[in-house]
Amino acid sequence: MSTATADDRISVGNAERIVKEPAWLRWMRVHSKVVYGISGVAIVLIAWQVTSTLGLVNVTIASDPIRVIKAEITLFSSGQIWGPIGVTAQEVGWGMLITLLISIPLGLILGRVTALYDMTEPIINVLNSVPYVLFLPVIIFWFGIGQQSRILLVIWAATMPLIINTTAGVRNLNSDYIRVAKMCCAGKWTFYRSVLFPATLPYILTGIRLSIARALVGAIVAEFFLSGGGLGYFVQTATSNFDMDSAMAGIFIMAVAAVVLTRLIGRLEHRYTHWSQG
Amino acid sequence: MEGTIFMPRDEEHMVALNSSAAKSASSYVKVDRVSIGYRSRKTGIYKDAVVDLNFEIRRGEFVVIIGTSGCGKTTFLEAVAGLVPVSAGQILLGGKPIKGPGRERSLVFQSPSLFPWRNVRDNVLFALQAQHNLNSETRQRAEDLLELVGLKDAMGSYPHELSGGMRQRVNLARALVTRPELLLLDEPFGALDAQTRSVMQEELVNVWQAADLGEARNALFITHDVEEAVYLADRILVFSKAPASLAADITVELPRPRLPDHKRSREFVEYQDRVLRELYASSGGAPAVEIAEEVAE
Ligand SMILES: Nc1ncnc2c1ncn2[C@@H]1O[C@H](COP(=O)(O)OP(=O)(O)OP(=O)(O)O)[C@@H](O)[C@H]1O
Ligand SMILES: [Mg+2]
Repeated sequence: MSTATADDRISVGNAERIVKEPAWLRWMRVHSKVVYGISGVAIVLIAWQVTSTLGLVNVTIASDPIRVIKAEITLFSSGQIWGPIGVTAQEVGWGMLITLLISIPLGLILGRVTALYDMTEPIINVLNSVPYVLFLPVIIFWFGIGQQSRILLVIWAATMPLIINTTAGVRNLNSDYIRVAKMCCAGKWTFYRSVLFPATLPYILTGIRLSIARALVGAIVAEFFLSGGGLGYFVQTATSNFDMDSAMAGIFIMAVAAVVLTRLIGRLEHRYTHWSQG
Repeated sequence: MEGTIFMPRDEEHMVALNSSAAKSASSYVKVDRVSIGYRSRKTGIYKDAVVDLNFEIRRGEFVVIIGTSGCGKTTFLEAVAGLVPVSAGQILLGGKPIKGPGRERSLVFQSPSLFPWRNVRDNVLFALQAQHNLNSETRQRAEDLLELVGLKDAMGSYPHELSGGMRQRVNLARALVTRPELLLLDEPFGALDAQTRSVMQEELVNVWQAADLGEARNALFITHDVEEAVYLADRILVFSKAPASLAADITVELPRPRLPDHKRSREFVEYQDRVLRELYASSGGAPAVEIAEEVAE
C-alpha cells in the first residue's frame, strides 16, 4: 500500500513540473530526437550558406543551399528532371521487384533444406563479399549497355543481403513452432505461409532494408558506367558542365528518395514485427 | 473422416463422467513392449530413454505419469504424440499403431510455444486452420473455450502481453479446440508459481468435467508434482529412474468432481504418501519409511 502512495506522489510531482513548463518547451522535450536531428542538418546548411556568401569558398565549385533550391525549382518547373528520376526509379523498381521474387523464396528454401544450404553457402559468401561492381564489365560483355544491364547490376547488388538474411531467419526458427505445426497436422503450404514466413519476417524486412540501400548504389554506379540516363548520369553530366547547382540538386533528390524508402521499410517493420521487439 | 475418429457422443459422456464405467470400458491406448531411445548425432551411440513399457489405458481415463527429472517422461509422451518414433515394440491407439501426429491427439507443450505474431484468438484458430476446419461453428467454439479459461477480454492481446499463466491457458485452449480424443499434457503447469498452478489445475478439472466443451475424454498428463498427480488422476503411473520402466500403477479412487478442499482430506494425503513412497523406492533414493512419516505429520 505504501509503495502505491509513493508512486502517486512521484507522478503528481511530474505533473506539476509539466504544467509549469511552457507548451513549446514541452513539445521540444517530447520530440527532442527529431529536434536535434533537424538542428544538426540546419547548422550544416547555414554554415555552408554563410561560408559561400562571405566568399570563403568558391560558389561555382561548392554551390550553396539557396542556389540549390533555385536549381531545384528550375529543374522541376521545366520538367527536365523527371526523365532522369523516371529512369532511376524504373531501374530500382524492377531490380527490387525481381530481387524480392527471387531472394525470399530462395532464402526460405535454402534455410529449410540443409543439403542445399551447405552446397550454396560458400558460393553465396564469396558472391556477397566480392564487390559487386567488379562484375559490371562482365555484365556489359554479356548483356550490352542497355537498361537490361543496369537492372541486372541492381539485382546483383541487392539480392545477396536478402538471401542471406532470409536464410538466417529460417535457420533460427524456434523448433517449438515446428512441433506445434506438426502436432496440429499442418500441411506444407500452411507451414510455409502461416509459420515459416511470419516467423522469418523480421529478418526478411531487415534484409529488404539492406537490399534497397545497395540497389540505389547499384543503380547509380550502373548509370556512371553505362551512361543511359538516370540521376547518376544527370549528376555526372552536370558536374562535367560545371553546373554544380544542378549536380547538388540531383544529389539532394537522391538523398530524399533514400530516406523515404528507408522510412517506408521502417514503417513496415514496425507494423508487422512489433511482436519480435516486445 | 471425423465420423470415423469420434465415437457417438452419448456413449462418451457416460464413459467420461462415470469412472467406474470407465474401468470396465475397452482399452484405448495399448503400450506393447515399448522402448524408445536416441542416437547421438556426434558419436552415433544409441541410448535408451524408456525400456520395455507395458500397459494399457482404458477409454475415459485421466492418466498421470510421474517420475524423476530426466527419466524419460517427455520422450514417452512425444512417442504417443507421434513426434518421436519408438525403437522397439509398438503403441496402439484404438487398435492402430501410431505412425505420426494425428488429428485425434493434441499436445499441451511444457512451454506454451504460442506464435508471437498472432493474437490469442488467432493462436487458437491456428489449430483449426491447419486442419482446414475453420468455419463459423469452430470459430464460436474457440471463443467459448477462451471464455471458459477466462481469457474473454484478452482475445486480441499478443502473447508477449500475457502472463505465464495466461499463455498456458491459451496453450490449453489451442489443444482443446480441435476436439481431441486424447489430450497429452507435458508438465503444463511446471513453470508456474504454486498459486497460479493450483488455479490452473482447478481449471483443467473444470474443462475436463465440462465434457461438452472440453471433450477430451482421455488425458495423459506428465508431472513431477505428487499433489498435482493425485488431484488430477484416475490412475497414476510411476516411472522409474532413467531409463524409465513402469515402477507402479496406482488407481486413485477419489470421487469427482474434485474440489481444491479435497487436497486436505485424509484419503488424499494417503494417496500422496503412497505415490511418494513408490517414487523413492523406484529411484533408490531416501529411505521410504522416513518420508512416509514426514508426509503423515
Ligand atoms: N533429442 C534428444 N536427443 C538425445 N537424447 C535425448 C533427447 N531428448 C531427451 N534425451 C534424453 O532422454 C532422457 C529422457 O529425457 P526426457 O526429456 O524424456 O526426460 P523427462 O522425464 O521428461 O525429464 P524432465 O522431467 O526433466 O522433463 C534424458 O536422459 C535425455 O538426455
Ligand atoms: Mg520433460
